[in-house]
Amino acid sequence: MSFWKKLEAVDARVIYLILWIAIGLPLLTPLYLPLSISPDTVNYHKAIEALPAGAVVAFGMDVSPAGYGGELGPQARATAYHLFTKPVKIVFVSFWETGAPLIQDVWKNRFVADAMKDKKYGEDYVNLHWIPGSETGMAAFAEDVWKTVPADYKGTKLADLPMMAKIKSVNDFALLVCIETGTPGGPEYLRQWQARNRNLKMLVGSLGVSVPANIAYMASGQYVSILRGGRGATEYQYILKIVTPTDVQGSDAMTMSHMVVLVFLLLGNLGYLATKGQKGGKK
Amino acid sequence: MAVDLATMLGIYVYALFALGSYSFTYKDNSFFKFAEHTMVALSIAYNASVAYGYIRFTAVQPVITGKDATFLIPLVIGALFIFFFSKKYFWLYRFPIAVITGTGMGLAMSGTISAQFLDQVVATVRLPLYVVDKVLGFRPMDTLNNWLIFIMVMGTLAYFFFSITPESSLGAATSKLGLIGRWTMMVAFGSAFGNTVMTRMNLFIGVYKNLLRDYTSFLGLAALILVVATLEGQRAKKAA
Repeated sequence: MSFWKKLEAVDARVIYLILWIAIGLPLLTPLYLPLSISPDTVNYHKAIEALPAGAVVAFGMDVSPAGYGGELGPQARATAYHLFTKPVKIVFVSFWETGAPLIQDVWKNRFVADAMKDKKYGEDYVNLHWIPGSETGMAAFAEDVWKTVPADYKGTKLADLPMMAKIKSVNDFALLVCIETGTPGGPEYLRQWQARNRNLKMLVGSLGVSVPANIAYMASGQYVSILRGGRGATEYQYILKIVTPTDVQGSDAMTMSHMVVLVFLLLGNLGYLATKGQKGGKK
Repeated sequence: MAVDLATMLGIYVYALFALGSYSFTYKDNSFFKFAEHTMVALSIAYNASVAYGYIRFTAVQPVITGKDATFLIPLVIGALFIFFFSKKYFWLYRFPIAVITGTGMGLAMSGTISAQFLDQVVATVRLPLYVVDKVLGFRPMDTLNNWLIFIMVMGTLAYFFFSITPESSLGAATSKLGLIGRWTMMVAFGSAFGNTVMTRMNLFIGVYKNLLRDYTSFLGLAALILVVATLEGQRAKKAA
């Protein structure tokens, strides 16, 4: 049996094992592999930097625990940190029931907690928790915030939260940051929020798998910019200077995993070409 | 690092289920099934409890206190879902389904036409094929990029244009343009695949990072899974 034939017959579990090792190596010790900053991440950062004092920002935490544990957690934490360092009002909200409790998890991050020290709950930021109904809920919220959400995550009525006095509908928001796992996410916000407020700027923290779909909205100018998966999160952390060795380990592990996948893709294609036309090979 | 008992227990439970889920990469086993079923059960229980809390606060309380009796209408319509389990009154279950589908479709369609169709078409049509920046002057890469978008959009549209027979000269030209469309779609699918790999790897890296926070739990449970997997293998062999 030729080398290529043996390679074709290799057990998938061997590949899994190689991936475990390749990913595990940088997780034990950071390798500090080079990472360039993409223009999208720079634009994402610029959009938040350009916010005027007192601007109201909606922070859509539309994530699943799996998405949050992988790519979206670092994105959400870096974005929240950045927003808390600016003199803006933040309304945290989630249209995913699994995303709502994770808002408080974002606040627990040491960088975010530090930036929140000078901010007062109810005056500078609020957590409106989960709103059911998916896209229908988004539409209801866009039309009338007070009717859709009678109270915040602690049960405090909106009337007792001073910053909510001026926030009645989607027209009162200057920027929407949507950290999204899937549906409802960016496209639903476009349909229900941006369609009602054409001046609403949108930033989207996207899973890698959703990037190709989201790029179309960025190219058309409907989104100001996007963060591209875990890589985008690490780039953003580098810009904000809040990158930790654990984050570097994550991005190193990602690079290593891609290198392994690329090597296997290359070997697979070489094998295909080498055995093409051979007796018993692919035609 | 000193860790309290509750955190330690959390790490162990996390590790148990994470490794149980990933044990599927070795082979299907009862350990994986336990993790899978527990996850499904927990998700449903969590969603039900959160939804119950919201409905109680938003709709039931205003009705009981007499603040807003109109919430009685959605409450009654929602309650009709229970007739899914009745053969005799199953038809009543169709009412909430009709309301949800109708509202959802109506809302989505109204926004889709402007936000996802017209805006996309307008943005593509408006693409300048000769890009000049006020400060930087002629932008060759942006110009090339816009030309590529133009050609690829036309190619993809041509690929799905079936109204002209390929035998005619116009049909042959459309087919040739459609070839560009086919390549465009292949590139798009390849890009989607690459991004999917990135997401899956990131999910795994997230789990891996958490597992490595505590080596004892990782190693202990890895050994446990190895034992279970071996037992499972032996049982399968015997059964065969």
